[in-house]
Amino acid sequence: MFLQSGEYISRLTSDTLGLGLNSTAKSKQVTISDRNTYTKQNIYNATLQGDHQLADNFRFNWSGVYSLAKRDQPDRTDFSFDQNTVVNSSGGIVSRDSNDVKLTHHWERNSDKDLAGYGNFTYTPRIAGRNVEFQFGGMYRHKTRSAYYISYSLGTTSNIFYHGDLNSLPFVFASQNDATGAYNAASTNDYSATENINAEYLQFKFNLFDKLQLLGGVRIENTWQNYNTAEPVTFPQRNGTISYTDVLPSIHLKYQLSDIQNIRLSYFASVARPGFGEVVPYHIDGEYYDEIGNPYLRHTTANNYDLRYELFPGGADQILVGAFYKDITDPIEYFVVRDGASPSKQDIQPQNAASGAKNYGAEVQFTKYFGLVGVSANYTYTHSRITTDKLLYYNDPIKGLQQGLVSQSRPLQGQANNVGNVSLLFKSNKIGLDMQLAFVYTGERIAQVSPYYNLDYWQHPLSQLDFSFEKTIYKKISLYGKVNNLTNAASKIYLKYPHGNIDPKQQEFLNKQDIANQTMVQSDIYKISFLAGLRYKF
Amino acid sequence: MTGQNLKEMKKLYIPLIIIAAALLFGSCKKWSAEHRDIYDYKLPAANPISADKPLSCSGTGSTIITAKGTMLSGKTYAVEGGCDLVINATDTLIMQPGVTLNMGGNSSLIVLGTFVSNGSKNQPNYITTPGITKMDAPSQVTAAKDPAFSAVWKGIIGGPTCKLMVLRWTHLEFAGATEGDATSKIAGSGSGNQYTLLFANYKGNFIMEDSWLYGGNDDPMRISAGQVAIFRNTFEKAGFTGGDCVNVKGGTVGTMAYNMFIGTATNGQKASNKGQATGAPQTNIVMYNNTFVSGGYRQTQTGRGACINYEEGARGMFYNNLAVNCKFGFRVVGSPAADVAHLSYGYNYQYGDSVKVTNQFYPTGYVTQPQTTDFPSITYSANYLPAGYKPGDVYDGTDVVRVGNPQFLNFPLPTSGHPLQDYSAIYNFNFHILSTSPLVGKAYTGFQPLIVVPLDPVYGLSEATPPGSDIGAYQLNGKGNQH
Repeated sequence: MFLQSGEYISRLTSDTLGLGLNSTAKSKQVTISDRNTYTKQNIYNATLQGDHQLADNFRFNWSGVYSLAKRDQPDRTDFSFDQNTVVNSSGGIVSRDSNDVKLTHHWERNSDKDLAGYGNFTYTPRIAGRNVEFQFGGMYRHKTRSAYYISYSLGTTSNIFYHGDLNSLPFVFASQNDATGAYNAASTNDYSATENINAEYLQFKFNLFDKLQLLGGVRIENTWQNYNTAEPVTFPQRNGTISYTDVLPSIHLKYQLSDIQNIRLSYFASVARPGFGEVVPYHIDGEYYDEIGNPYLRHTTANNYDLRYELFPGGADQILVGAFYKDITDPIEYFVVRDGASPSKQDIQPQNAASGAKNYGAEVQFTKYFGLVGVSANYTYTHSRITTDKLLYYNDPIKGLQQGLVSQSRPLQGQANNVGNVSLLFKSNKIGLDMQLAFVYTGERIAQVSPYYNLDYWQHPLSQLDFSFEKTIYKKISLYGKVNNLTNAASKIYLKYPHGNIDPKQQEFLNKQDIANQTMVQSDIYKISFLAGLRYKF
Repeated sequence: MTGQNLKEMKKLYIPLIIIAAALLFGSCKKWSAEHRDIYDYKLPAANPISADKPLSCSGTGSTIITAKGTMLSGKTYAVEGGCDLVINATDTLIMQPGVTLNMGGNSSLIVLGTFVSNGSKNQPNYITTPGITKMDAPSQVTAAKDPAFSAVWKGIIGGPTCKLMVLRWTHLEFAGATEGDATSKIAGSGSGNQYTLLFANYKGNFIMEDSWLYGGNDDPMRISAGQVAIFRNTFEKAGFTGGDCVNVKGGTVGTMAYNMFIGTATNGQKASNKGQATGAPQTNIVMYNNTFVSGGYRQTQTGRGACINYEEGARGMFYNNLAVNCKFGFRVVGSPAADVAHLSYGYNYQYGDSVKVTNQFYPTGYVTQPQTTDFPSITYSANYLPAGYKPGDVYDGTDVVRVGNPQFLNFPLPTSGHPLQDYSAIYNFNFHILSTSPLVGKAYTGFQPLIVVPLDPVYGLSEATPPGSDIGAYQLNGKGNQH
């Protein structure tokens, strides 16, 4: 398979909000922030697989995957400009000024190569009068990436006003020295990285009694990651090699209560490994925060316990009820961290929480058809807890203003306590029509962990309604379509801090607040989206 | 000769005789002076550093030159371009009086241990770039072309383990190049930093006395945290298109006094508690008897300060300061607010040649509370700070334009011929005051400096000059700023 995409984006932003930030008395009236990008992506993919019956009860299947992804983004150009006005007591404009006139050029490209091979042997002998299935095999995966990045910024030496003509602005390097090419913002963004993973497993499946099936095994995963940046020898973290081995046992018990009912009990260990995109100490300019990598990031391991009851009354109908418990070591979350010696600069960095996390909960799933029309629903409740140190800025009666550390427990980043969805389904092979109306509810969850006590960014519960259909028009040709977000639900992010308590001078920028004891900091409105297409099946 | 004449002669002679006797006695004393020539032994400097060839990192495969020991009086040292001269956390580098250290392009001095530049009045030290001719006459050159802002070398970076840094009778010039990834990683600082001097250890001591700072790029002096004493220094053309000259952040405690600032990009002295680290104290700075001339004009962003500024949780006091033709007056910020409950001020003097300046004596939009001890008097006229004036209000400063000329020894006031911002360096001006100056005897001396650094002639602050009775940095009695 070969896929090429070219994407041009021209983004013009005029932000009429603003804060009297950086200790100035100005009211920021307009912030213009424009961006032009061209991104070219090439993806090649090839898969080869085989299945061999080696003997009556001995099978071998294998697959090999090769893929190459290239991404080239030459000269991403960002232009930003603030215009401030000074207003008198009656709101009239006394004077205006310009600020932060900046033109930034980024050049980046990267290439990712992925080679993977999988092989599985299945041996099904009869032992002690029962069918036993042994499976063993392994996989090997070799991934490489090379990334190139350079960026430079131009500014102006005086208050210039922008009236729509970029070429008329006299851009210069911010310092005479920056123009010599001696300074590269972050050579850590120039890197090559390799990841090799091999895994071997052994698994068995047999019925201990007629109604009790036992599936168990162990899997060993070896991970080796290496990266090299363009930084000099004096740069700690300039290169690194990380390797680890995980032994992952699992056991699944399935007890057949009747032909249509099962009870399952399982335990398994699992890993989630950070990609080299998180481990390399890169530093990428983000829109609100810069993002940095973390070579000391450990991979996440978890012990998972599940209990589940299943009922299959017939057809596609089913009812599932379950409970789960996960004990997570070294969960990875994205924290906001202080950067270097600058008091104002904060970055987002993936980190492990030392305390680990514990999630437990219950889930219910249900599907029922009434002729051509069906209803499917599921609901999961998760109680998630992790404890991390947070900064608290407080006024000590003797020492004055102080900053201390306080432990705070909260759900894992991104983990909602309530998640549910209900779908109405229509399926008719006779007229070749498939339709689905889906309602998805995601409860409140932490969008971004703050370094400060009680100031995490919470994403408000989100309810979304989507519709999709597929209709066969003629033999192998079908028409399909999707209409997403029918109710135009907004994604809103809040601080759990009463907005009335915020500095009076900045209150005027907090309009449209809708929850008294919280502060809305972001509201994204996506509107309804439509997608339609024709599909031809060979 | 009549008796009358004789009497007059006597009248004349007696004093003459007394004078002659005094001269004779004096001469006798001179004749009787003794001479001694006794052998004295001075211990040799430990680990003297050779000035025979430049300190170089070439061929080592890295940018690092580690240094400890003594740079010897009278010698000129050079650091090769692109190298980082590092004083390790357990080491000390001391510069004897009369040392010149020439910094190559994009070089830096990273202090992870102890650094003392022990210049003296007669033998000042230089940390500079050679071969640059200063262009300091008013309007001689535009800021964009002024070599003061050439930012040749990166600066002195006091890292998070720097225990002590002393700059005494030392010139710092032409620094402010961007640190970059590699240098900032070694110093534990920030790659985008463009400071002539950074100090970033709230447990460490930073002392700067009787020194000079010239040019720079961003904040010429950024104290991220530290125990500081900044006494009797002169700052010229500090910062290019932005930057507060002495900018202290959360966790900084100490005193700034008798400093002279001319032509700073933004503020001369700024205190903020922003970024206070866990365990670090609240920023608490006492500022007194400082002089600010033509500050704030090169800042391209608007609404910034120009002389003294307290903001975001900083506490302290400021008294006896003089601001002449600064773009904004003494500024107390209300959002994010300074610790106004623990901030006291008064006896501050301002002079402005234009109404644009006097309209901002109490900057619009901030919370500086006019004090009855301020000059010009806050009741100078019915228009200037009228009844019902609240801090931050717009008012008409027309009546106080050119009121209260501070009477410098040699500086044209009112200015003429050049825009206010073009008076950006000391040049051949002299900001000492005439005995007839209205500044004389008007200052407040009923408070103490906040001294948290060690007092020591070499490894500390050699003189903590108490508040002086004349407003500004120069005292008629010869105390204060010695430049």
